[in-house]
Amino acid sequence: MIPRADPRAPSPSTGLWRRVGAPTELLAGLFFMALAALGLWLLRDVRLGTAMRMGPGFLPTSVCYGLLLFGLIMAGRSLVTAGPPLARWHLRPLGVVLGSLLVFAVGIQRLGLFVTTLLAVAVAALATPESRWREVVVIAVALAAFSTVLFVRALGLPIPAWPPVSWAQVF
Amino acid sequence: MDLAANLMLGFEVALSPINLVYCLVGVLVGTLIGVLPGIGPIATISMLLPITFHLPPVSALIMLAGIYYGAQYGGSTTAILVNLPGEASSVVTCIDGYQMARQGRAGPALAVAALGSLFAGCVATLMLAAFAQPLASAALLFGPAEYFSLMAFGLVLAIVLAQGSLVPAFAMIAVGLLLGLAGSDVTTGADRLTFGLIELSEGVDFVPLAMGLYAIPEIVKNLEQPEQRSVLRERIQGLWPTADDFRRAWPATLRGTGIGSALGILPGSGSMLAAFSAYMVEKQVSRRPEEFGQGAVEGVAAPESANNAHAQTSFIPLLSLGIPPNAVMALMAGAMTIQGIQPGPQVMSAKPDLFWGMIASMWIGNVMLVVINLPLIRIWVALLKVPYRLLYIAILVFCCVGVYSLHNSTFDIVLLIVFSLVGYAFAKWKLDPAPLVLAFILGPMIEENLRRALLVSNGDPTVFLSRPLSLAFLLAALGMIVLFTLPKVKQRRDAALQE
Repeated sequence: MIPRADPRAPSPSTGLWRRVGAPTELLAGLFFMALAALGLWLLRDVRLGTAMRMGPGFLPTSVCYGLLLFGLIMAGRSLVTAGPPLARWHLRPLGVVLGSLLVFAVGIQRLGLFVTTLLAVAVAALATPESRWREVVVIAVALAAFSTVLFVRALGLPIPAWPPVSWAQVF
Repeated sequence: MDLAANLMLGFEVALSPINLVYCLVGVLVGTLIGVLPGIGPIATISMLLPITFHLPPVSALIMLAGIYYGAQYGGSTTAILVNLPGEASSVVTCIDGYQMARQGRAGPALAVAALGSLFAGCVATLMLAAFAQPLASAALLFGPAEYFSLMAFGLVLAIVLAQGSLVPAFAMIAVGLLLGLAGSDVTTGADRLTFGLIELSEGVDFVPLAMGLYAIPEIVKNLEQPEQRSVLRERIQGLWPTADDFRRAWPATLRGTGIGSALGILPGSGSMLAAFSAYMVEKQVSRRPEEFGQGAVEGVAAPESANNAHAQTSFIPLLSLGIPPNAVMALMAGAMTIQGIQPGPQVMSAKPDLFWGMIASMWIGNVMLVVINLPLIRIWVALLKVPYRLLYIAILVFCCVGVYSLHNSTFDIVLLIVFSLVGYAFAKWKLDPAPLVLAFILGPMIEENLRRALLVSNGDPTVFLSRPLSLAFLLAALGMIVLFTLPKVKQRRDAALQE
């Protein structure tokens, strides 16, 4: 009998997915198989060597085959056993949090720590509807000042604190 | 040198003003994150790794250790007062601790938890001091074959004790090994799994990996559900437990300390397992099992002493064998590597000040925790009112600056983004990242010892079976896998690991 997926599960529980007993395990298994395939492709030119004098590719390649096998077992097993339905991915907090990391990565060398922190905080605040803009302004300035003082002044890290004098260097 | 002389050296190091300050900072930060639900020691230590880069090795490790055992103290405060586990290992304390608080006995519950933790911490640290040295001397005689088999055994233990089923844990080990092996090969200099990127030729950096798998997914998961916290209204009155509390709590503390210390040495066991086991044992031996769940003082004393003892003894395999038994110890191993110290049996003889200084600092830190924290409980409770919508922004900024400051390279932040995405997927797929992190740390060492062992034996793979100690480790590993695939044991394990 095919186990019934949780009707409230908002994820792709349509058609094909409903037939799969353990969709979570199937996805994880496929992910591991893809990772193993990627590894094998990257290692295609690395010398394997022999067991006595192992080349640099021996252990990683063996591990890739192992990973392929484990992924295959998981994917195969997921078709015949029952498992939990797919958990919902909350794209807003995920996307916004990763987005603010990206803003920081792009900004830090061009705009300096202070301005970049302000921007990253502004983006990060979008992650939850609970944010209040007055609070966000206060915490943005506080964090920008605190991290500039702590990391640049106190710890003396070679991070630019301010944007360069000429705006031409920013772009 | 004998134990006393070593300890003298340790206290000399730990009592230096700068190390006292870092110990205090560590236990305060530990208590803070222990109190705050939604941020745990793994995420915090991964966030602070970049900062330790700029500290002397002893101070860095003293501080990180303080965060770990400090969090075990702080977690109980939230569990008792708010019925929320501030720390995963305090889940069990919620059951009876919160009931005690509702009966107006929050003060005694907090005191029993703190004193039990102090006792457990001191005893377990003594065990660490006593056992680590003989273990390390024995390990110094290991050849590459023994080392390889020992690490294989460690990884297998991490697999069988991980949450969920065995095959995914094997897969996570494989992913961790691949990530650990990426970069140029030590012997030949050949690039492996680097996508041709120069930034990866030194290998994958540990900090973005740990932060990406733990800290960032934790933030996103916390943002998914609206915040609910109910802070206890009643004032905390009277900290001191009654004579009856003492009479009932001390045997429970003793048993909890024993269970926690024993489990701490096992690779793969989290402190949650220790707390849970101690609680179950208490319930079984008690003459009044019906009181459990209704505010039994043993139900607070046992798990709290167990998780603290566990936090201390889990340093034994790391400091004596170089094998991290759980994710936090893997982070400690990472911190040592960042400082240029290769974890292993040679640490104790090559850097006695580091080893004994850390041990001595644990006693000092445990005393600090009780002396400082009991009077400060009101402040910690007040901190619980800091809303998460402010907290996560600060955590995020700290992660960004920390990762960037490692090499002043934006590449590390890109790496962080990639691992965060993977870490979130793992969380949604119910895959425990602990085996991955352990394998990442052990990967290079496993490869080195495997290759050396085969080189020495002229390519004869039976070297792992012909040396008795190596064979024993491999048989033990095999035995574990067989044991945990038996349906009956598997069921009990699943029940024990259930949150």
